[in-house]
Amino acid sequence: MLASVPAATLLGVEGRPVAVEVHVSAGLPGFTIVGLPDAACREARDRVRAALLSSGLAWPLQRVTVNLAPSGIRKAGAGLDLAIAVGLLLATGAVEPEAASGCAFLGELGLDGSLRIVPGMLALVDAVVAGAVVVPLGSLAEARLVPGVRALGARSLSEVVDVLAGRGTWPDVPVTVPVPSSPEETGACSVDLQSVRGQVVARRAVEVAAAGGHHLLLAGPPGAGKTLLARCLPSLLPPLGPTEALETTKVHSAAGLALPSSGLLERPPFRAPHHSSSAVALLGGGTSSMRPGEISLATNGVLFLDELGEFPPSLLETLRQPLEDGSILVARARASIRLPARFLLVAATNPCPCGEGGRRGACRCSPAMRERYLRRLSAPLLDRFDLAVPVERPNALELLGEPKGECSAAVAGRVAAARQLALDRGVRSNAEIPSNHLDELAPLSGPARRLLVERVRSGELSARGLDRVRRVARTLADLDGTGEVVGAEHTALALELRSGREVLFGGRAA
Amino acid sequence: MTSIARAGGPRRAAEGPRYASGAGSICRVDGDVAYVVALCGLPGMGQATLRRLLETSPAQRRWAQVCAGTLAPAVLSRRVRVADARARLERWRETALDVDPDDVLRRAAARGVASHVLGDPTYPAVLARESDAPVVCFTSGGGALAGSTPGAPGGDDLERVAIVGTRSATHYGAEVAAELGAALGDRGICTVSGLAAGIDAAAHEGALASGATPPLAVVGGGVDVVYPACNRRLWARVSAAGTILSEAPPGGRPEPWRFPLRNRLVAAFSDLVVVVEAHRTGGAMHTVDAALARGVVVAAVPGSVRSPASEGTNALIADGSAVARDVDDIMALLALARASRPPARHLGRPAGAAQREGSATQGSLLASPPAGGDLASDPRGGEQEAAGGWRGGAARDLDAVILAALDERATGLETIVCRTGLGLGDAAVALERLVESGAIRRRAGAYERLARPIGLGSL
Repeated sequence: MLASVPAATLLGVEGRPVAVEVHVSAGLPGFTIVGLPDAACREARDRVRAALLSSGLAWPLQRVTVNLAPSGIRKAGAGLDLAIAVGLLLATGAVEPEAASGCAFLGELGLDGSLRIVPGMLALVDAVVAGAVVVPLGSLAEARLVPGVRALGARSLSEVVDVLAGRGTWPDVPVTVPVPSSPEETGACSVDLQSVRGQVVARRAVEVAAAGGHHLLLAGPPGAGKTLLARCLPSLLPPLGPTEALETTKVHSAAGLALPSSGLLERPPFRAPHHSSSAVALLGGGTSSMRPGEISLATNGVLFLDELGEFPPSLLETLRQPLEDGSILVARARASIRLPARFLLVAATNPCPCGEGGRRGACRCSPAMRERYLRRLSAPLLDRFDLAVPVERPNALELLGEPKGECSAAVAGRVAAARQLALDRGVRSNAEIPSNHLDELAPLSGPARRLLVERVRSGELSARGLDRVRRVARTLADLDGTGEVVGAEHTALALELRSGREVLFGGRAA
Repeated sequence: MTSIARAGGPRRAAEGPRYASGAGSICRVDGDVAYVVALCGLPGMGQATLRRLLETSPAQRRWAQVCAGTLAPAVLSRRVRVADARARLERWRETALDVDPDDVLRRAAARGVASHVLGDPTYPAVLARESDAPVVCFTSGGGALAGSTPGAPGGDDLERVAIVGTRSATHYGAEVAAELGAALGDRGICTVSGLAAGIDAAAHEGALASGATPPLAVVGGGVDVVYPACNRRLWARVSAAGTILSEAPPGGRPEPWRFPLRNRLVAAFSDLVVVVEAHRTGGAMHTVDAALARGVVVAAVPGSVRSPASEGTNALIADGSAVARDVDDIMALLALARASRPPARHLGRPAGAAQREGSATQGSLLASPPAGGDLASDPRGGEQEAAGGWRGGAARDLDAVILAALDERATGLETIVCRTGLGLGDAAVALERLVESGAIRRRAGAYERLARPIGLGSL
């Protein structure tokens, strides 16, 4: 007696269809799972047995073989539990074969027969080869995001069996399982720009970064407000578009992170990995399911690296290629997968170990120490930052007396308008304008051109730097709403918003 | 030729008797060196005061008096008020009680610092001729410094050219200084400079790059106190290849009052002073004044009339100093100075020397610009409007607002915007414009005002 149940397994952020074949025959009672299951998957045997018994179903005293086809790819996790249980019931005849035809099953079983959610449900449902799919009720909202598949939810194995036996109907209730949403998803941890006192220049830099997708480096002494500024960014970014939201949700789901109750991440993610993070944690891979790393989790959002100088230099260098490509190819012996990694990089750094950056009297670092500290940041990496802003400590007057600055909502309005202008140009953001289209998309006014020519001639600006300045100037002009031509004030300010690299590195990274 | 004669003239000819060695006027006792050095290390002790102390009594006795507090306030300058003098003597006494003179000397020697007391055979011969020769000077470095050793940096037979200039040198100035330093080195001429940032450092770099002649650095602080810190490596290299000399005691901090005195020594050491770049005022002009007072030829490297860093040098040329366009100019000037030196002792003064002397005693050639020389005070008066669009009237107003908010300290855009209340874009454009005009300078992401805003005469 043979049964086959469609299901799927997760690799990276994509699902792979899996057919769970269950064969029950006479012989010594036993239960074997073949087809490259990993440890969690192999343990399905004990979970399925306990779940069946707890649900009042019979455990066949026969020889049971479960094959996970195709047997060439590694099956990770407990997501195949439900499919194995249903396949077993079909094979033993406890459930009529017609009842389950064309329906896939995804979910982990508890010993009491309850259905539990598994990471990557969105990708899994997307991958199954079936017209309908049964998922744990907690994942129903997420599963319903996939078009073309009828998603059905169940609380337990007995509920599934009851429906399949015609004794009940699928519970079509909104999700009753409370899903804890982390504050990062809801945007609760994001700070309103209004709480930043003073910092006119840095505020503008944050606004430009949000509007144009320009990578931002904040350099300054401790207590200047670098981290606070970076945390304001999520509140400035527009909500994710449908495609982006689905992509980001897929990654977060695959990493097993909690999703909002709607199942869809609509706010850009904000990820701030600590500088002790490992390469695998940052880039992805590592488990047999190739869990996405922090750079993928930050896709369509912000990756914030606080204390950039404290990150191991080798780790920082690995970021260069994803920054260029918008994705990362993680290759392991068994598989190589491409994970999305298109994020806005925001970094904060002190100018030296003590943070005072050579200020006479305040800095306790020798020139050699400073140089060693800054040598960790390679010129190619620094080159990726369109914006590098020195952040000075606000003075007492600004902290106490100054009127509050604009709130995030006002700035977000301008940012959204500027983003729309970029989309109208056919690029996702101004930072992605190709060099050969700059003349057409970011034409310079006479004085602006003069200014840039002067800088290039004096050797202060390289050819690559020139393109970056022009893109930033484009964004500044978009934010001001001054039309197609980029003026001198935008160009001059764009140059100014790069001056942080001079502060940090003198002429080293021009 | 005339300009050279006017600015140059016979070296030390007329002043011969005045600058005769003052060695005889110092009371000397063998084994006194330690006490001289220890006295020199007392807080606020300059060479003039030291000389006054030692003219009447040997160092060892003076030291004992300082320790015992029995020194009369009258030995200090009469210009010092008695109360101040007493306070200073008390401070000396407190310091001296913790000091063992022999130990001071030993520690200096351990750090490679040699002490030369006026009258020692190792004391630089050219310094000994100064009317206010330092009682003691200190050297560090590989190049032996000996008054009588042929070819030594302090000796009489080696030709030395001072290359001096502003600390905030432009790229042009630094390059020229380095080229001159290297070319002089190749020709066996010692480069003398102050080992400060800017022109000084570039000149030494050049001299070291040549490697043919050990350079001489005359510094303001102790020879073992690197200042400014960015010269640390250069300092070590000069010390290794040439000589660093100072009249400040070992470990002496580079106090501001020491620098004009240092500049006097630079002039004293040199057969020719070349000013590569100088603002209208500043240390380089002190050196020029000191050189003129000693009859040392001063040559200036011409620079752009738009560069504030060349204002001083161009003004020198306008006032009749010699012009140094390249090393050949310098060699010609040196040859003239050499030719005029020995016979000049017997000859009368050349025509024009008296006139020059007149202006030199007023302090500076620059103090009395030639009549009708309005040009120098505002060389770019009406230039601004010519450049068209982005320098219109409104732009000038903006620039004025920004300039008013800036001073010589480095100021970031953030602060500028706070002070002026201007928009970021407007401020950035105006700053860009001002940098281009040379009124301000951008360094390490901050802005500072240069000596004189050009083309904004109304301010």
